[in-house]
Amino acid sequence: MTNTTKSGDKLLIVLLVLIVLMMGQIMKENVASIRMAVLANGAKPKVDVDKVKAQLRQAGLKPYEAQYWGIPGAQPQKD
Amino acid sequence: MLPIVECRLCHHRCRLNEGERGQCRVRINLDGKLYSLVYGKPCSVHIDPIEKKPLYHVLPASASFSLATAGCNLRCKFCQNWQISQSPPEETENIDLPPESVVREALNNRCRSIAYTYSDPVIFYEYMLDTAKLAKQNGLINIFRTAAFIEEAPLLELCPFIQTASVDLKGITEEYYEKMCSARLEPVLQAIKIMHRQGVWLELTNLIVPTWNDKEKDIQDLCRWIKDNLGPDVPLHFSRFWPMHQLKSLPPTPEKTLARAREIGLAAGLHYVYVGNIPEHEGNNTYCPKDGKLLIHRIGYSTLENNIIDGKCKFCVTNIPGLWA
Repeated sequence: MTNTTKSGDKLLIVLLVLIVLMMGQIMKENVASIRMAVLANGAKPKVDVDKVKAQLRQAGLKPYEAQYWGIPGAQPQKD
Repeated sequence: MLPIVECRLCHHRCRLNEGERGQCRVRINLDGKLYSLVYGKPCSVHIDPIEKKPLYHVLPASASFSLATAGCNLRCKFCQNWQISQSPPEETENIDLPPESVVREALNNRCRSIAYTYSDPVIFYEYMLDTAKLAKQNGLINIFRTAAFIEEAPLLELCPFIQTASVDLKGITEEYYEKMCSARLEPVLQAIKIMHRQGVWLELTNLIVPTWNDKEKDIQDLCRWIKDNLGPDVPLHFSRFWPMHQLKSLPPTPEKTLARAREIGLAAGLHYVYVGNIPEHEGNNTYCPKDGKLLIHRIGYSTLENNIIDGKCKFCVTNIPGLWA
C-alpha cells in the first residue's frame, strides 16, 4: 500500500514537472511572437549606422545614391 | 529620428528603417536616403554566346559581354545562380568595373552586345542604366535579362536604351509566383506589355518545373496570353529544369514534356517556340513559319547554319522578326 502511494507520488511529480516545462515553452513562444509583432509595427531596434557604414567601407562597397525611392506619404522622389 | 525610406524600383516597395536593406540585399537606407551598394561592382563577368541568354532572334553567333552583381529581388526556389543572387555584396567577390570600363571591355573583346544578366539586373538599376546609355552611344546592343518585376516608371526610363529583353515568364498563375518566387504575376505581365509597346525586342523563357508548372492547362494559358497580348512573333523558349538550390529533390524536366509544350505553343499559333537546355533537340532550330524550312540550325549554343538573309527567309522571302544585324 505504502509503496503504491510512493510510486503514485513520483508519477505525479514527474507529470507536474512536464506540465511546468510545457507551460514555460508555450509562454516563451508567446512572448517571442508578441515581440515580433511589436517590432513589425515599426518599433525596430535601432541600427548603429556608423557601424554599418564602417562595415561597408571594410567590404570595399561605396554607397551610390539610388533612383526611385521616396518617403512614404510624400511625393515620389527621383534622384 | 530620420524617416522611413520606401524603395520604388520594384513591386516589393520595401520600407526601410535607417541602416536596413531591401529584399534585394543591395539597396540600403543610410541617413534617410536610399543607396545602391553595387554600382560598378559586378561579381560575375563573362563573355557568353548570345544564344545562352537565350536570344535566338538577335545577332546569331555573336558574343555578349555579360555581367551581374550580387543580390536579387526574387527568391526562386530553382535559381541556378543562387550563390550570387541570394547573397549580399559582402559575400561575393566583386571587381571595380565602372560603366566606361564595361563598354571598353565589351568593345575590346569584340562583343556586339552587353547583357545585364545572371542575377536580376533590376536590382543594379542605376549601374545598368548608365552603362546602357554609354553602350548605345558606342553602337552596342543592350540586353535586359530579367524577371521583369519592376515598377513602370523606372522601366519606362530604361526602355529607350535597351534594344532587347530576355524575360523569364516563370509561370502563369499568381499562386506559382507567390510560392515559387516570392513575387507576383500581374506586375510581370504589365512590365512585359510595356516593353513590347516601347519597341523592345522580346524573347520569353518559361522554365518548366516538374509537378509545379508542367500541366498542359498552364502551358496553354501561358501561350494564349502571349499570343493575345504580344502576338505570334514573340519567341518563346521552354527551358529544362535541372535540380538546383531548394529543389534538388525534383527530377529534371522530361524531354517529352518539353516537346509537348512546344507542340502546344505552335498549336496556339505562336510562330517561334523553342526548347532549351537539351542541346540536340530540333526545338533549338528556327524554322520559317510560312514554308517550314530550316532557317537556323543550332546545337546547344552553336549556330551551324543560318539561312536568314537581311531578316528574311532565304527560300520564300518571308520576314523573320528579330535584330539580325
